[in-house]
Amino acid sequence: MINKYDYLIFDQYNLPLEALASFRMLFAAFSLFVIGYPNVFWLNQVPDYFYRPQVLNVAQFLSTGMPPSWILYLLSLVPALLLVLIFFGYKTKWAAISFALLLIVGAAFESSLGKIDHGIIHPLTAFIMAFSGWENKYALDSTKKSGQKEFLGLAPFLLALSVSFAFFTAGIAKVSGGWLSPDKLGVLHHFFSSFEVWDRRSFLAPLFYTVESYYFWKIQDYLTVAFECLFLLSVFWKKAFQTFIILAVVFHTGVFLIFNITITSIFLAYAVFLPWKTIVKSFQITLASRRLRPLMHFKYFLFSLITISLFFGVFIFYNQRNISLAFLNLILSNTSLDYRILQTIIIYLISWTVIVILFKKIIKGKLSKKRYKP
Amino acid sequence: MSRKDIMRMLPILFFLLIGFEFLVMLNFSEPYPAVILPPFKETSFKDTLQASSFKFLIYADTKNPIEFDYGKLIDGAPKSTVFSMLLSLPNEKKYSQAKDDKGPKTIRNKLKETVFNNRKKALEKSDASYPRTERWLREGINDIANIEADSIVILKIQFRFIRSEEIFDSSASHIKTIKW
Repeated sequence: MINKYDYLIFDQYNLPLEALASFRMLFAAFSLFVIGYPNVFWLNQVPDYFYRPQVLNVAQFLSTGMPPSWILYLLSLVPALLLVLIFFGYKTKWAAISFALLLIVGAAFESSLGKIDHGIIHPLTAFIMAFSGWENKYALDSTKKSGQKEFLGLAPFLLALSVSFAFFTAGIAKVSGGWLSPDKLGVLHHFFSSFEVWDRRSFLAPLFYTVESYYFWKIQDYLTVAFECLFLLSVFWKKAFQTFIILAVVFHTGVFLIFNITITSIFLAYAVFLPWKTIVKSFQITLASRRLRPLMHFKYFLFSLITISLFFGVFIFYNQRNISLAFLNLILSNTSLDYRILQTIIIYLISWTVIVILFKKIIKGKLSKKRYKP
Repeated sequence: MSRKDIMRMLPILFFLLIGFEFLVMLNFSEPYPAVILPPFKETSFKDTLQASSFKFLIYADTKNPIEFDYGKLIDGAPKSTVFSMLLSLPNEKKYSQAKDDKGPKTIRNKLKETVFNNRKKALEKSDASYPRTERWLREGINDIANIEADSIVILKIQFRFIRSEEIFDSSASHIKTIKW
């Protein structure tokens, strides 16, 4: 029993050090360039009255009022600098923990105004992976550490637990709302509301508006509830969990095309569960990283730190807007392009490309194994 | 206890923690402005689709209401957040939302008082600042709509689509009036 439990939490989700380090750089680069994190500087315009933290809101333990402007400014700027530290692997563990805590604190102050958002998976990924050992390779200060190889699977397992639990809570809410009742139509209700009230009528929405079949919509209710609730069970088998991650990509793509709802930051958590062993082998990550090693130099680190603090610092100061802080969004924020849509299309295209390429690789690998069997 | 044993306990503790938080969240009746709209409870029925939106009307001398785009009140803020902020405003000036929920002197209540002391202070501070907020709101409305408003009326608009008869209708219900 203990052996099975140990296998589940320590070994099943175990990732090679090269994979963890590659994920670390991927996490920091995508967070900084495409996905971003919330700008909370706009909160300085909010009158004191609206700061009314809820019982479980961490903001209430930190302050009896909305923090002063300079703190809100730092809460918006410092995460970008911490992402640079994470990318280059300098004081990585502390940088990742601080990044997560700053994002949680910023979100806590924003939630104290009444509206509660669900962007917890992004900081949680940084927080949990801070303990994964992702700083032990391809990092500025990796040579100083011996590397803890024994528990490499624990952090990804905890992340799998968090992601699946998040889906489970969404599924349970739908069950208690009557989505399994044959008289009620949950997905169609959301679609009708999104189309008529929120005016979300792009992509496939007009096409779906014409679908009247009761069974078509009801099946979607059952599939959504089954998918979200069973996600939690899949954690016990890595292959099943990876299948659910692919289903989640299908789910988000559907939600985007039909409801025009953009969800991006959770994709960073999904990336932990890519078949990294295949990726490291097939794409010669070790060789590529050797070529990239000259980039892991202190002068480039300092240059990035200064450039990003200047770029983000000036932007946040002059734009007190609720905009996701990433290079892509900052560049597009003053154009007529909807940065959220573009950001989502980029992330979804990359995800689908990765899925297709890996699927082909895995199938090819299996076929060649069969062919050379004595 | 070895390091491995501690690591073994981590997932169980982690699961208990998130599970406990989830159960607490399910059972907490939050009297403060946390506007958690139940997104899955108001599900449409087989034959009747429904959706609702909110309308903010501003009144000056209780004549000629004007529809007001509350999203412009705070530059760059998410519209849905401004919406929940405005919904949290009290109906009348003297109304205080910081209820004194001190119970009998049990250890549990004492603990609650100590843990949530900051929150109580925050709510008292928030109540005390209401007059300034009211001024801010009046000035904001004046800037956006160029009108000296004396009240805001929030209406809920309910849309209905009866599929078998292809009838589309809407009705309005009063949510609250913020007067000053």
